[in-house]
Amino acid sequence: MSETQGQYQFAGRIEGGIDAIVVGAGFNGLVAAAYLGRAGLKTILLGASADVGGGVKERTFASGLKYPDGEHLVSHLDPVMIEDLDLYRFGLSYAARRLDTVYFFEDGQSLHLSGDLLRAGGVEYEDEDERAAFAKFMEEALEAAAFLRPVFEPVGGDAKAFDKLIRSAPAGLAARINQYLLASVDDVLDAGLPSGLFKTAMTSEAAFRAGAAPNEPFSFMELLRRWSGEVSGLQGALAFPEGGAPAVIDALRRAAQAAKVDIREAVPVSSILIEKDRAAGVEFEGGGQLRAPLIIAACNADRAFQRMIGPAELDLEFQRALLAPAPKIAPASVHLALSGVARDEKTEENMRRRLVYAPPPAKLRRAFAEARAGDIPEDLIVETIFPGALDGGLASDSLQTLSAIAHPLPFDLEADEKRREAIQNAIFSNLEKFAPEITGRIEETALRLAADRAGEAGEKPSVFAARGPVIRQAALARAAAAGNIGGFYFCGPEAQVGAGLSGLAGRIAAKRALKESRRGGFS
Amino acid sequence: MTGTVEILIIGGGEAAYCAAAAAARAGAATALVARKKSECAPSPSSCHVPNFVWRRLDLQEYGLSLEPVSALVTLLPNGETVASSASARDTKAALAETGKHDHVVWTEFVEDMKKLGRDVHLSPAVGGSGAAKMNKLAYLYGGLDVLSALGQVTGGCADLLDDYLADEGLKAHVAAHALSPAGVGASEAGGGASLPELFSEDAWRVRAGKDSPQLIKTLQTICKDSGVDCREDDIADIAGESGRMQTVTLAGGDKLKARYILFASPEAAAVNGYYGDAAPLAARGRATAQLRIKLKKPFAPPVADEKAVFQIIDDLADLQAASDAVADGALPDKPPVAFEFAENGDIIARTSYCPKAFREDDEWRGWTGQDRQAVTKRIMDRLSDRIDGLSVNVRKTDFKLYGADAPEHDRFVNGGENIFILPNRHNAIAEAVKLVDKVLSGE
Repeated sequence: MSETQGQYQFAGRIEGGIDAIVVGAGFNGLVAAAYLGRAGLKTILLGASADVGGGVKERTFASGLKYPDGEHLVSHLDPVMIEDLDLYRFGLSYAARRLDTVYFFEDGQSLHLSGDLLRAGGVEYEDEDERAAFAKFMEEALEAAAFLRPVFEPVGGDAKAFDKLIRSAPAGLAARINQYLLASVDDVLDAGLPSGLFKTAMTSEAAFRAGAAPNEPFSFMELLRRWSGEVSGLQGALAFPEGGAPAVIDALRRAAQAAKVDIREAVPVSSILIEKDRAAGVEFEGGGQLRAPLIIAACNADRAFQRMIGPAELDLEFQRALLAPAPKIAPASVHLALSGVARDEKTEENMRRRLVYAPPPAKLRRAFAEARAGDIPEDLIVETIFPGALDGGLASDSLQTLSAIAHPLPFDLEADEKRREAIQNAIFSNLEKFAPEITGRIEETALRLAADRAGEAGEKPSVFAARGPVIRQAALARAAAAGNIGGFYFCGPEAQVGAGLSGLAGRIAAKRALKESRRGGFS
Repeated sequence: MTGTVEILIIGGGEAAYCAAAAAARAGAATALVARKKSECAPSPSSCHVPNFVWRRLDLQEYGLSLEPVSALVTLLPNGETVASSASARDTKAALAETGKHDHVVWTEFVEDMKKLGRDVHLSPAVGGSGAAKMNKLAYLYGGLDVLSALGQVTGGCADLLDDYLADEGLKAHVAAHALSPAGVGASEAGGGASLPELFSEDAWRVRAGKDSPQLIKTLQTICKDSGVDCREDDIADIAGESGRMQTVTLAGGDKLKARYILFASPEAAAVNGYYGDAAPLAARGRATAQLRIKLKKPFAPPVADEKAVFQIIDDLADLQAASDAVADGALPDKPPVAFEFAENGDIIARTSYCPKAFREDDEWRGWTGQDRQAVTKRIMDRLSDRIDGLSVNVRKTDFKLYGADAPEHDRFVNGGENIFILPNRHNAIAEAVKLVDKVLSGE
């Protein structure tokens, strides 16, 4: 293993004798490279920035207290990938699985739901009719989410294969899926959960990190996607890895290194060489070349297809599909170091849950309208966890860490100090709604916007913004991953449906590349 | 009184009567239930009647003559106007004359929208090419051919317009005509689907010619002649299992059994307490206010002629602001207003950007006399701002509200129960008859 920077960029230098190149050292790039390395291919992973992991990394407050940045929970880690790459052996472990969620509401009420979603419907609740309606809703939605899992995967199959899949569903389920497909969150919830806390909680759950307001068409599928994932065998669950999400990157990095993947950081690739309709290597911005018969791109599709490969090699319809309108809404995260947090058992127990502030649906809808217009909304969904309470390594004797993701906020390509402060204050005022006087305890703050993550990951900011309708994401993911150029595979952000760490796209791209290499598709 | 029919059409608009007449002429036992007061605001112009419908119903035998509306016009602030006509070439020439640079892309834009309409359909049971027999999900996730189209129709109207046009006035014009019948905003997901509909072959609106009977009256006559069981009533309940005969109880107490049920518009479904998926242009919780203005002396419109369809907005953002206000249960400050001239010279003005109910201090309340006055004033303000001397020329105004009396709790239906809601706005007649054909042929 060697980690070298920059020195391969000499103009005119051509390096060969390599089996595979992975462009982009984000999560899926690491996954793909580890697969190829384990299969015995001499693999080089090229990162555009100095950071491996796509902006998911451990950071440190001035006090020395560590906090995991990037993603704060995992819900979609591909179980097959974890097993194939032996990630548990390379250090992956969960500090907490199946986190319970407590929803807080504007009027001071709260609702505690089991982290085992199939049991969430059994919650104690005063109104038995509402509870029964909720239990029925959960059962139906989870069934549909599990059934639709293949739809959210960037795997082959054409319209006919999907038609067959849907036809295999029982009549009731098929009808419901047709109903969910184009419906808004409001459409579906009004039918099943017309009122009460359950509706408010589920509206926020569905709208969290989504690009469209809950009254807009196609928005309900976002909730099904969210619940289609599994963590340690439990559908729809949320888990906190020991050390946070950056620890998953570390485990993956160790797996890649053990598989003898050559990781090179800060070597921006300018183009992918296509010779005789096949991928032949990459060219660096400095002019040097790296030649290999298998190339996997794990950077954004715009860069991979339009710039590195070039429009001449691409299908026109596909190019048109890549032209997505600029996102307008993005989540923001904030990390806090808090002092004076009580250490009694009850507080500790509460802090080992996921706490979500769920604004009233009408106010949430307004928030989306405001964010889309570029204004900072008054009401935000805030998902909060206490990394230090979940994992003792992330707290100190005097300080406790809090990590929050707030949504919906306007998507800014860059934000000045004033704007950052306004965003931070909006998040704080929503935190105060369920954790009164918390702002008085804040010792240190780190606000992280989409643009911040993009800068470190060497990606464009829109990759970290809220994305369009799930039906479009899924269709695009399948097309982008399909691979029409010999020896070239794609597992960038567009090959994944929804946000979060998954690794599925990386696994699929690597598996396809390996299949081709075993077939001897190249000489 | 009870009866059993193959298909029950619910609604009181032209599309409903066309669908019922077409079903009956195809030999199916057909019933139609319309409310006494129609759910849709009657308008001097109606949806286009395509040739295949005309021939199916032998409309010429009823002395009917229809002529296309002369233009779609938008009155923008500061005297700016934009007009388009049925012919893309004429529109292009007119745009070039007014110095709008977008004339160079206009015909391509219109052709692409037509193609988009052929490529992907989000309507229930009405699939695009080859999709009719296939499941909706399978079709949408299908492949490269629908991929870019899917992105365009699921996105906002403004995004799709930005792909082609640069002139803000022209974009506002197209968006106003595409979205305002449904009361939808320019940035809302799914609004993109309105453009292929607006530019489809079956969308250019028509008016009854001189001495011709009204289209709706003719269609009602044809329905009676064809043996459609027409009733004036509300739907009290629909019960039945998926795929089986549905039992429909009418408010008057009668029961009907029907194999298929078709709500001919989202409004027809809403006033009876139903709503469906797949309707980006069927935003719920909205009402339409219509103002008939009798004038002291006739006047000619500022541009085009009395046979055009007019829209008044300031810019694209107007549509979204109005839609957001309605979603909040409030009356928009500046509602987009559409108007046309009736045969007798009255102005028929309307806005679909009205809430079904108002939200005050987190409580919902119904419409009051004050609200009616407020919306009347806002419509009048908008008209007066664009039409010189209108305010002193008004003899009488007559206000009507449609859709605000829909039940609070509604039921979600989809094609799986053989209950369909037609979401189309611009080409409703063509799509209604196509849907009836598809349903009756078992597709």
